[in-house]
Amino acid sequence: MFIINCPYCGARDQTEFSCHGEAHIARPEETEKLTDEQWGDYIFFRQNPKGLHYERWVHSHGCRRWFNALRNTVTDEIFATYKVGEARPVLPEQNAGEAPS
Amino acid sequence: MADSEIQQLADAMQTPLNGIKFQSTNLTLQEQPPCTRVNIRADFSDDKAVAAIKSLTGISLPLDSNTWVSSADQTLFWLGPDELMLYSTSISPLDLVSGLRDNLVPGKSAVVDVSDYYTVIRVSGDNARQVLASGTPFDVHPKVFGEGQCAQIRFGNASILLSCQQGAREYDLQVRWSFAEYLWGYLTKVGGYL
Repeated sequence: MFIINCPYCGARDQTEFSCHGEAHIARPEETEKLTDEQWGDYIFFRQNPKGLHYERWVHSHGCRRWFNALRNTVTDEIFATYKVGEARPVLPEQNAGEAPS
Repeated sequence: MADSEIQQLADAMQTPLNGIKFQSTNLTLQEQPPCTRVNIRADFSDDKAVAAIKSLTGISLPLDSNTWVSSADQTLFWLGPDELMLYSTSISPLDLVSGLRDNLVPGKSAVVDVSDYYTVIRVSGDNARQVLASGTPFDVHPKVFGEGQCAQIRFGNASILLSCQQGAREYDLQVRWSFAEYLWGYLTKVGGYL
């Protein structure tokens, strides 16, 4: 059991939240021009990193708002939670232009 | 149906728990009487929307997270950055909903009558905190959760809107109608051990 910091409500228990996979996936523009392979990549293929991962979370039992989190998939440590639309937080040891993949 | 049967049905449908009360050592549980409940979604950065709600309810909006404000007849709870819950004991659901819909921007707001969707159980007494602690890890210590604060949390398996009415002694639990019996059973079972 751990505590997650909802950007709207504050610190709450983990059981109030659910995780819905990788964040920051933009829907491609002009989808009619995509090949089946490109469309398939957008729909089905996700990063599955061992380590830092930007994820979408929803506070289902609280304010029911979506937000993003930066979590370490190995240690389950959540480094930051931030509202949808806000820039990705960058860890101190990382360079600003370099996001973990 | 005879008139008396209709009356009986109306009485039975008034609230899911029929205003039931439970008493134990330093603990009182009671379902609160029914009132008008309206869920409001709107863009509160728009001054017009804020003014419209304020003029109808007569109270300023709780736009800080996890807070609620009330007057004699009206109470407003913060549910999210663009969502409020309004309780009223003086205005009928129809008047309130139409009054709000007329004054909020159509297409950018939603006003829904949820009077029959929720009920409220009041937990009061010196053991109130102990009972709450049995169902949720949420901290209700008066230092961090005092009067005027509310939180949507999980209690047991029910999602509730918890509001502090009086520091450490009195809390209101708003629960979905269909979960009311479950929550009541949970609270009375825990209360029975005190």
